[in-house]
Amino acid sequence: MASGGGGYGGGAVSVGRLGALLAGLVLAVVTQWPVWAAAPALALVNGVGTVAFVVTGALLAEHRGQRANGRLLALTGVAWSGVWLDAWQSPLLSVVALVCPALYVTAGATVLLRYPAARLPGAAQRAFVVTLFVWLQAVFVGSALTGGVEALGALGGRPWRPAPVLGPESAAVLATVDRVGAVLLGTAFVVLLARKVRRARGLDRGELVPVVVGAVAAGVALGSFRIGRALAGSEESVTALRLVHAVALLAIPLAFAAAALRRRLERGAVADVVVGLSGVAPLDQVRERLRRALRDPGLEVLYWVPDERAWVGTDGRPADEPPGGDGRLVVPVTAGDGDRLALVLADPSLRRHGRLVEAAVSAAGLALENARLQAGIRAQLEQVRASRARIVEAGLAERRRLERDLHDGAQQRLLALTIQLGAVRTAVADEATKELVDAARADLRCAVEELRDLARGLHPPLLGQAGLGPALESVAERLPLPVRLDVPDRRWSVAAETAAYFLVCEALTNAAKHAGATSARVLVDEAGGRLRVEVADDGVGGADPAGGSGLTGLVDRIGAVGGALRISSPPGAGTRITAEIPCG
Amino acid sequence: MRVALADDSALFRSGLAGLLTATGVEVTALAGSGDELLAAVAADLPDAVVLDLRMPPTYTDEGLVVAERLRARYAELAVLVLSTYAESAYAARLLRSGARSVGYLLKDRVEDSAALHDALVRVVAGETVVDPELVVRLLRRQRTTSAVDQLTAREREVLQLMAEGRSNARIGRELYLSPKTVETHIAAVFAKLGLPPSSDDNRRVLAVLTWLRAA
Repeated sequence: MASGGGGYGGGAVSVGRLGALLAGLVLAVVTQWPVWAAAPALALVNGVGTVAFVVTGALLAEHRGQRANGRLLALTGVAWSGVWLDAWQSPLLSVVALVCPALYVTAGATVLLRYPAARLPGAAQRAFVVTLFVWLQAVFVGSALTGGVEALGALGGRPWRPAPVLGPESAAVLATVDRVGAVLLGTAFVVLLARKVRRARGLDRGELVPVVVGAVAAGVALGSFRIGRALAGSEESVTALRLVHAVALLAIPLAFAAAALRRRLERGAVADVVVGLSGVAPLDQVRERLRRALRDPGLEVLYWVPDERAWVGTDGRPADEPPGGDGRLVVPVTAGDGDRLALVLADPSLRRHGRLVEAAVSAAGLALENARLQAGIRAQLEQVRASRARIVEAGLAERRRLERDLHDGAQQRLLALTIQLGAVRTAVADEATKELVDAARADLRCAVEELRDLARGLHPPLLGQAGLGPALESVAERLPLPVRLDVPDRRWSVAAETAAYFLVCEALTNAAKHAGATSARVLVDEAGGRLRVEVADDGVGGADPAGGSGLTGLVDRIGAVGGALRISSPPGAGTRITAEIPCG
Repeated sequence: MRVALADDSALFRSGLAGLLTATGVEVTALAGSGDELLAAVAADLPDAVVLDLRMPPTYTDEGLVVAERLRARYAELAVLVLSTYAESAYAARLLRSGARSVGYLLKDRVEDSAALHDALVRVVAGETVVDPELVVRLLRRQRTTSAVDQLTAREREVLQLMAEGRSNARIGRELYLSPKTVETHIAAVFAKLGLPPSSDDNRRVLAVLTWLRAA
C-alpha cells in the first residue's frame, strides 16, 4: 500500500485504493442483487454503505498504527453486506448470512471503542465485545432454529431456513433475551464511549469527537431498528425502517473521514507555527506556540547548552533528571549543522501523532535555534546569579562567624583583663604605678569599644534576633542626624533582611558623613514578594554609583540577591536610594 | 548581699566573681548557662542575679528569656543583665516585664567595680538601672529634634538621670538640689515632653525610655 503520509489521500490513486473500491463494488452488486428487485432504494443505500466502509477501511489502514482498525472497518462493511446474502434463498448463503449480523455489529463496536489505539483499552471493553457477539449470535441462531427469519426477514420471498427444532415458547424466551440484552448492552456501549472521550487528551480528543458522534448515531439507529421492527405491522414499514438504519450506518465511514479531515486541519495549525515563529521569538513563546499547535499544555522544551554540557529549560535552569525518564515522548531536534539543539518533551498520547509532532518541531527549527542561543545566555546568567548569591551568602556567614568569635573570644578576654587591672589598681599603693595602670585601663577601654564597634559592624546580633525594625532603630540611634523610620514589624528571609540592613546602613552613613544631610527617612514595605527599601536624605546630592564609593558595593550586593537598586541624586537636591529585594 | 552569676565565658565569670567578692558581695553560684542559673537560684535563692544577655544554647537573647522567667518566678529577686552591645530594644524589652529591681548595663561597666556595686545595690533596693551610655545616645538623638531643645540644661540633666533609673532623692544628691527643686524640674520635663506625670519611679523610667526611643 502506498504511504499516505500523515493522513488519508495524498491525492494519488494507488493500486490498493483502486482494489478496495473494486472489491467494494463487486461485493455491493453481489449482495444487493436480489434486494434490488424488492426494494431498489434500500439496495442502493446498502451498496453505497458497503463501498464506503470498505474504502474508508482501506484508507484508514494506510495511516500509521491504524492498519488493524482499517481492516476491521472494512470487515464491518463486508459483514454488513453479507447480511443480505439471505435474500438469495440458498441454504449455504443463508448459513453465511446468519453469522454476519453479529459479526458486523461486533467489528464496528470494536473499532469505535478502540480507535485511535490498536487494541481495546481494558478488560471491561473486551468483556463487552465478547458478550455482544455471543448475545447477537445466540439471538440470531436461536431465531433461525425456531424457523424465524430474524436475520433479514422476508424481503422478496422467504429465505431458506432449516426445519424448526425449537417450539414457540422458546421463541418467546428468545424475544425477552433480545430486548433485555439490547437495553443492557446499548447502555454499556454508551458508558464505555463516554469514558473514552473523558480520558482522551489533546489531539486525540479532537479526532475522537466525530467518531463518537458517528458511533452514537449508528447505535441509536440499530436500537431503533430493533425496537421498531418488533412494533411494526406491515412488511413495508419494516423495509422503511431498514432504509433508515442503513442510512444511519453511513455515519460511521463518514465519521472516520471527518477524523481524517481534522488531522489535516491540525497540520494547518502546525503551519501557523512556522509563520508565527519566523523571527527571533522569546524562549517561552516558542514553547507556547508548540503547546498550542500540538494541544499539549504540559509540553516542555529543553535546550542543549554546549558550554555546560547540559540540558536547560526555558527558565535557564538545568533539567533535573535525564529527559524522558517519565515516559514522555522525547523528540530530539538537531541544528542546521547537525549538532544537537533541543529536546521537545510531549505528552505520551502524542506518540501516535509522531509525524505531526516532527513537522511542528522542524517547523519551529529556526526559532528553536535562536532560542537555544537565548537559553545558553540565560543559563550563564543563572549560573552567575547563583554564584554571586553563594559568594554573598558565604561572606555573610563569615561575618557572622567573625562577630561570634570576637564576642566569645577577644571581647571576653579583654573584659576579664579589665577586671584584673581594676584589682591591680586597688592593690598598688605607689602613685606612679597607679598612673601607669590608669593609662593602661584607658587604652583597654578604647580597645574594647573599637572591638565592639567592629564586631557590630560585621553583623549586628539584633538583626537576626529581633529583625529589621529594631536593628535599624539601633543604627538610627547611633547617627548624629534624625532618621524617620517606617519599617513594618515583621520578619523576612535572612538574605532579604541582611541585604536591606546593610543597604540602609550604607545609605545613612553616606547621608551623615558625605552628604551633610540634616535629616533622613527610611521606608520599608513589601509588595508582591519583594521588599521595597527607600532611603532619602536632604543632603547635597550628586552621589555617583560609578565613582567607586560604597555605592558600587551596594549595587553589587543588592544585585547578588536578585534585587535591583536605583539611585537618584541630583546635585543640591538630596539623595534617594531605592531597592527592591526578593523576600519570598 | 548575695549574688548568683551567669556567663558562658569562664574567664569573665571568675573575674567578675573576684571583683564582686572584693567589694564585699557574697557570690552564691557561678553558672555557665541560663539553665544552670535557674537551677542554682532554685537551690539557693540570692538577693540578685547578674547574667549575660547572650548565652547558650541560642546565643541570641537567652539572658532576656531567663531574666523574664526569673522575674515571673521570684518577685523579690533583683536582676541585672549585662550586654556586650547597648541596644535600646533589649532594654525596653527587659523593662516591659516590670521595671522594678531590674538593670540593663553594658558589660564594660565591670571596669568600675564601684559603679557595678552601686548598680547592684540599687536594683536590690528595688530601683531601675539603665546604662548611661544608652541614655546619652538616645538623648543626643532627641536633641536633633525639637522637643528636647525646649528643656533647660538642668532639666536635661534631670531627664538623663531619670532615664538611668535614679530616684528623686538620688537625682537631688547627684545634682546638689533640694527634693523640692528636683520635683519642680521633673514636673517641668514631663509637661514639656507631654508625658503623663507618674509618682512611681520604676514606671517613670519606662515612660521616659519609650519617649526617648520614639523618634
